Amino acid sequence: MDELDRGAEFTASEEEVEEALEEAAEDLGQPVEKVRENVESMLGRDDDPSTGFNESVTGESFEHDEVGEDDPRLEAIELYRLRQRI
Amino acid sequence: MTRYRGNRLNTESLWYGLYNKSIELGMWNPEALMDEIGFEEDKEIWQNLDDKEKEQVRRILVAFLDGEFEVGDDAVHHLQTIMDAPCLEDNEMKQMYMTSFALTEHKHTQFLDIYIENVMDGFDDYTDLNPRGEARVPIVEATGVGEVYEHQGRLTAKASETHDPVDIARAAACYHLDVEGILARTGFFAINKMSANAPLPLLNRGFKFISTDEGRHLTHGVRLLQELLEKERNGEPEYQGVGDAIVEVLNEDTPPMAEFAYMITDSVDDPLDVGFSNLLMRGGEFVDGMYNESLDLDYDSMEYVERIRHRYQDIDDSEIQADLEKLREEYQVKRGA
Repeated sequence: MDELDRGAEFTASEEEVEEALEEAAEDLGQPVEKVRENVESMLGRDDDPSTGFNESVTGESFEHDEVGEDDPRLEAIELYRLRQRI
Repeated sequence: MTRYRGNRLNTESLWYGLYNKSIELGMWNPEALMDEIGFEEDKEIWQNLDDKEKEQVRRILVAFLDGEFEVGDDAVHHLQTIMDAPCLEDNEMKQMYMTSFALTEHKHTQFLDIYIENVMDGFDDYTDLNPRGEARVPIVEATGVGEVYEHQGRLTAKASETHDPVDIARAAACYHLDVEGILARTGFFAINKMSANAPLPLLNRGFKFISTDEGRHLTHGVRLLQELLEKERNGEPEYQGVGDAIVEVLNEDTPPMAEFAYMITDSVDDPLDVGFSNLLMRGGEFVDGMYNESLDLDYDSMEYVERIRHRYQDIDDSEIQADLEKLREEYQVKRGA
């Protein structure tokens, strides 16, 4: 999970992200790698390396978001957990 | 990434991977999301917004509502057929992905339609005349956004008939790059930006799921165009003109896209502080990312920004108001009122 040049800033530490991934995996009963793979997919930088395709979560505008987590990776993990309930 | 091999299916295909991720991540249920988060907090925040703030939120949502209706319709009727074109590779996997693609677009309409009905106190609604998208919300039509949706419909219909690579490039450029890559991402930007003053939790989460789905759609669109461009650059005669067509479509769609940014900001005095110039500059970055970084088209993104700025300077609000009144009269005539 790499920060986009023209996207939202990563504010959490790598340790915090790893911890959140592990917690999500335990709660969901899934391997950590599966959670990581899906969260990376949700972050969706793919063919647009500096701007990113998922504006709401990894885009520059996420820095203005007052509803979700502060870090795009933590927000994607929360969304993935929510996704599993709906 | 796939863990399994198939016989008839090419599980190594990018499009198989997109299909698989659509099942795993894209099958969120809007009604279950509504059950999980509830409408109450959104309703309370909505009721505390003033009239102009409500109108700004309303304009963003109705533009999406009409847009999602159009992309869902075109995905079913045209994109599915386009993916069968002989000039494309991996047709089976592309068609398979397109089934989930169409479903997610309809799911977005479902989320928006139910949200608007249950949280907002009405809008300029002619849904009774809208069985086939024939009566867009007047402000969407009057500010030119409807032109982009019309353009998308014409281009995808033509490409689905001709299966010509240049026609497919034009259709994909309008649908994926302009509508999904610029208009929709601009709207996502606005939803996040306004959350400081209107932190609507259900709307916010719904849009983040929609944006995540649209991210996969953009991957599809960009990869499809890369495939066509590669053949053009390899000198294959049938594909000549693909790159020029992609840029032409952007230039055609730019003026109405400027009107969209105006419609959701300055035309309602921007009470939620989205900022026309924020949308303008972010749009320029979207263009640079897709047209230059992804497609290597050597397009001057500042030209896009200048075109948007020029159109913005030319917008006459009294003309928009006149168009609005004319549309409402036409709709009333259709109703027989």
